[in-house]
Amino acid sequence: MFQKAQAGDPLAFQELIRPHLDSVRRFVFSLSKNWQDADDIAQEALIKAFRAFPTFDGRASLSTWLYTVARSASIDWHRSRLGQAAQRENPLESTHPASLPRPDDACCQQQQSERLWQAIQGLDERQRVPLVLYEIEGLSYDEIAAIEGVPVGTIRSRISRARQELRGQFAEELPVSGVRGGEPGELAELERSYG
Amino acid sequence: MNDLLLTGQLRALRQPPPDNGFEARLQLALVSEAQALRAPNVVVPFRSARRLQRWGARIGLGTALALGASAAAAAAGGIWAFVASQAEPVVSPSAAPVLEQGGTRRAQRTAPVVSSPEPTPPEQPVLAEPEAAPLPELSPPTVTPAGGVEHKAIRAAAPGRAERLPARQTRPQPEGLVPFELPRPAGAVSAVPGASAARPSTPAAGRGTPASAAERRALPQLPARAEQQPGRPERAERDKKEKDKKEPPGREIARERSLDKADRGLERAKEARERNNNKK
Repeated sequence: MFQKAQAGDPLAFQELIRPHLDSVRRFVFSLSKNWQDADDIAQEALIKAFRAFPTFDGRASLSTWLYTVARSASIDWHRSRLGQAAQRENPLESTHPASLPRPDDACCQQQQSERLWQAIQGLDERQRVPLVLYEIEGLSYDEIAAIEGVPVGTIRSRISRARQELRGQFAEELPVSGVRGGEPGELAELERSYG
Repeated sequence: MNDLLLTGQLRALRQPPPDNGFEARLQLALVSEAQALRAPNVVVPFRSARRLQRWGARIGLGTALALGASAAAAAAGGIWAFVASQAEPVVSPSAAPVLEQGGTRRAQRTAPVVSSPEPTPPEQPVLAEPEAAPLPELSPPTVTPAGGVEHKAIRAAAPGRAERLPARQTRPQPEGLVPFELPRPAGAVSAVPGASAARPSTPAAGRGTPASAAERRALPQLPARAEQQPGRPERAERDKKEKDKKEPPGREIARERSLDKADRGLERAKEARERNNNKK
């Protein structure tokens, strides 16, 4: 299948990247504002990857390579006229917790996720990409450093700063004892899993 | 919010994105992209056109550069020729500068040159009066055995020049004083009025510059202005005498005969005129 995809077979390529589609879409969504733009950017990125797949030598993993291509495509899209027009139409909402709906009003997990996504999208891009790739997609520091093209220590510090900023934003609303939507044993399970 | 809770919340975001037909659209887009990539390559004529354009641009640029360079060279040559023609004065024989009185290098070039075995140092002008120096002149033409006419340059006779030198140099020195003249340093300006100060004197070393006035006196002199200046009867008489002395007798006889012929012709013409008048 790999050779077929490199020979230019679109179906083989799609089969090859199918396990990474959701990750790429989430990653692109973290760099955009809505799922529609994210899907457009992801499609453009995957077409670029299909064109450039004959040059893929397999030194990095396929997921890492796809993230790199997706990041470049996202940057290009935001620089293009289309991206600028979309930004004008849908300006980024303020992600300050004061402007977000109160957790008291939104009691379901979906709203909590949306608030967190908005907070992530409000971060600086240099902190956002490592945070999403590490915390959400589960990549290692080395892989993120390869995607970003910076040292591993830089990635660590950026992730730490991003977490600190998110903690500061949610400190007043999500006290440790008052996690909404969580079961009483959930916190203990998290603590056990992250040691 | 502590780190664990934040981490849990972030991990909870790892949910499958909404399925809005993304895979189907992606498949269509990939197939159309593959068809576009497999399309017949029609770039070749375009490439050849690009190549032609490139070579045409190169040739055009080279031609333009060559033409521009030649035009610039022609313009520079024309300007140089114009400037040179404007700067070059018309040299008349009477206005030819004399080397003894100091002149510019151009004057040295335009002045009649007399071949001499020793180079005349231009930086050491001889302080001589214009009419005093016996000047070189051309000898009367002599007929060579082959039938040609030859002119020989006669250098001015060195003896006797000392008497015609200015009094400043010929003045007898008081007893006890040794006449001594320091060699003129390089760059010194001639003492003769009218000498061009712009003409730098070359270093004396290697040019055979005489150190004393006597040596300078002994040097051959170039033709002076006195020869070319009109209105000097003594000079003309002397020249005539010298010519008469050196003219061969045969030539003198021939000249007398020709003069006689001319006189006779004049007399005949007179007589004819008188006859005509008488007839009238």
